[in-house]
Amino acid sequence: MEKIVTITNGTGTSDLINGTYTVEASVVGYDNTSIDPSTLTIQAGTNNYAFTIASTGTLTLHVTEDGTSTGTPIVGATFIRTDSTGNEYGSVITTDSNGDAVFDNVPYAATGAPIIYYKQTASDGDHEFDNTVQNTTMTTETSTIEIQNQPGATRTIALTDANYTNLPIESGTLTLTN
Amino acid sequence: MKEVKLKLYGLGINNNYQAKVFIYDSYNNLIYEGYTYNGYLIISLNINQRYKLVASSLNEYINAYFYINDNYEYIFFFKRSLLNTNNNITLILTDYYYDNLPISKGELILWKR
Repeated sequence: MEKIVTITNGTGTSDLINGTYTVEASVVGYDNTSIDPSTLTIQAGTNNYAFTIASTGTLTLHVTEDGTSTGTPIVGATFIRTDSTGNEYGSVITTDSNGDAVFDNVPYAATGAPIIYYKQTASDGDHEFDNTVQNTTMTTETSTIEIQNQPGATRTIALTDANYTNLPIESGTLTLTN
Repeated sequence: MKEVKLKLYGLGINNNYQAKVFIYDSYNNLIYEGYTYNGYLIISLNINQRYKLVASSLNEYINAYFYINDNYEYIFFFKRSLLNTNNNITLILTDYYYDNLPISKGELILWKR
């Protein structure tokens, strides 16, 4: 006789007697054969048991100046997967010479695919970027999202003499460190 | 004499059924006969003496010797409490490739072997 444990936000509870169980997974978007462990022994005194499951989709974030597939690529922009509140998971990925940052092993499904959250954590230093949490769902095994990182706007900086109001400094340099 | 607590495990959720208990001294004289309350009983026994506890509940028995020392609580187990405990188990499911990333929704199906 089987016991079905519903998982919500990574956790599920059930009353289970001690013993050894065969474990199967039913998670939309994931490879259910990858459930690990697939055998569980419940013993007295231990009430928490951890499992992992994997998926096989590939999400490419293509970063350009104008947010199009043909725009100038941004090299060195970084992204990380998150949950809806911005907690970070896994490793930072960085755009390559084509402007592509690739998340491997993400979930996909024709219907009911789970939401994938991510955020940009940096650009190349010369472009603006949106650091808020973004999300998408994947209905096919591979998907590409176009992301725009606009060039930093031209700013005018005035440098005058502290003791002679509005007297411009003739020449010199200012170094701004972010 | 000192007051001690004899705790018996395996008496059901919230101890809603109890055990009949007999206590014998080292000469095998019956010195106590009664029932647990809420899974335990409090009794006064001689320190540095050996006793025997016989308990029954739902056709299962405990037959155990115990020695009174400085401890207050002495614990006994019905076999079912060790082998067939109904535990409230928490299962945690995360992504294999993204450490600690919780799986938003799904099911785990457990088949008892």
